[in-house]
Amino acid sequence: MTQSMAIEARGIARRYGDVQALAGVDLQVESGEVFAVLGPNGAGKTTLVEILEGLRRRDAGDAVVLGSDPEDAKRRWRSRIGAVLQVSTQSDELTVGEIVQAFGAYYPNPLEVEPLLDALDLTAQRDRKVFQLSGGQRRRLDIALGLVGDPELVFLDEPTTGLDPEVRIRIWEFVKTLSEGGTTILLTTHYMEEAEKLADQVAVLVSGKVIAQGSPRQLTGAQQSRVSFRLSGPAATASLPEGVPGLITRDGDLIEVTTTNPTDTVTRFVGWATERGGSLTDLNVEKHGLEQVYLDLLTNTREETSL
Amino acid sequence: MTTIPRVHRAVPPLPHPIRLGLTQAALEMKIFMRAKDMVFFTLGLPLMFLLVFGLVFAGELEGSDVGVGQWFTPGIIAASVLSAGIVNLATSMAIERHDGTLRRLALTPLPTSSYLIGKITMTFATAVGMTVVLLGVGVALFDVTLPSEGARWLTFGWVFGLGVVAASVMGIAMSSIPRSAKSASAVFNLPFLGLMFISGVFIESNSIPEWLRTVAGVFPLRWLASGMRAVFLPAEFERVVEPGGSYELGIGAAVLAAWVVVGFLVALVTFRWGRERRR
Repeated sequence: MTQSMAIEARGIARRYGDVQALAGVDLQVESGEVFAVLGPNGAGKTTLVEILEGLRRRDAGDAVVLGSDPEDAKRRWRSRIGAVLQVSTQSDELTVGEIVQAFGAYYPNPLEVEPLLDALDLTAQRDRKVFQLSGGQRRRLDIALGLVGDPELVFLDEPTTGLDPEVRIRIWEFVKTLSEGGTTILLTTHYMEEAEKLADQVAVLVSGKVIAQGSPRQLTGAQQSRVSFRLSGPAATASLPEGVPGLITRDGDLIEVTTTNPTDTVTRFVGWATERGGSLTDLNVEKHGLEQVYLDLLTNTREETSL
Repeated sequence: MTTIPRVHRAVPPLPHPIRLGLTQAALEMKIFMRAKDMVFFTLGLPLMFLLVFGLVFAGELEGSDVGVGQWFTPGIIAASVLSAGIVNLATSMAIERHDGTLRRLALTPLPTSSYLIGKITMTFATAVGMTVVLLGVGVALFDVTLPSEGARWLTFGWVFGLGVVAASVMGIAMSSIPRSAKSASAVFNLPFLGLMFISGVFIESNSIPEWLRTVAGVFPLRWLASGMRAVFLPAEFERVVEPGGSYELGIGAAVLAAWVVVGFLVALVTFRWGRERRR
């Protein structure tokens, strides 16, 4: 009963009053994949996730999650998904171990409590009550509750927002381990770094629309690199070659080229400088990370929409 | 010896809703028992009524050998049963609706029936707790005598049970009313206190204006109180203290049952996990 697609959504739209939270979102998440929905606050990430979880209605579009429409989901379907919501709520009177145990009882095939707490570094907190936990421990408890049913598909809505770097890295490691075990993961984040580190596929969601989608490599690959170097020898004072693709700036002997093909740029300049009895020093090629790509995308989208 | 192969279950069965309901009830109980202040004030409410009325009106009812504690006890039990549902249960559900607990549970395979079985069982336990404490103190300090005939205990059993179920489904139905967790206790106290004063719990029904008695007759508390008086007061009292000159157990049963049905239907329509429904 393996499906190649864990989530298939087409044209998902949702409006709250005057606000078009989602304006036709398409999404394909393959089984076993880590899929990140990356976007700023208010982009519609949570609405999208909640529609796919069956918590919210959609105004338009089709969604098939683990073979069912989430709006028609039954108990059995819910036993196959795990969810970590943005807001966590647990009874203050229960201990970590008791809450995880209680949630596990809802599922046909729950994970054992001890190893799960161990994997999330919560063993020492097992007998603590929720109000005694730190923010990072609380978040890891939320994750434990999302996973105790041993789900095939896990929704992580901003799992590391507001956490310190150490906890964030621990959660990332945990998500990686989970993914290696074959669990499909849909996570939302506004941290570019998180998407880049964890995701096989990234969709950039801005103002309810997916403005870019692909693997982190694809998203960054088509983008600009910055090549910089200093000219030495006679070439330092020569006028620059014509017809080199990209944007070239010169500040004395310091040259900076922004290009989609840095190899070509370097080859051309090395040839050109050698011909003139000079050379390139301090050569530096820098690929724009997903962060820069993401910021560029956001800037472009805002410019377009403000026209 | 060869091992007999098992029937292979590729998909393990989902936990049974009733078993899960009892697990939920145990969990509710654990949470309740740990909130010491809540335990104290919940169990203390009926006791306070008994202490106040018992001390203020100390003595025996005119022209009888029935003590004042004996007179107030059935009404207080009736009020306790009602409050366990329309105050305690309703408040806990209103809070869980507004703090996101229900939304979180909506994403688990916990069935609605199990959640509600948990709540109703907890309401039953709360009502039993209040009654036991009340009777204990009543017997010890206010000369309350427990009925000795089996028939009276039978009446007690069905009035109490039907009352708890009616109060529970009413509480579930009412839990959707408050628009925030903060407003919950204000919303639920008003109908409870109102019913308590018009239903002949403390004030003798015959001194309540007739139109108000008619209003009270629509609601369950008046019938719960009559039913409890039938258990705790001498049979000849009914001609004097009951509005209809009789405990009217049959009508009481019918009214309570009607509230169970109505409350259940309203609860079905209004209960939301926090999932949006299809338009």
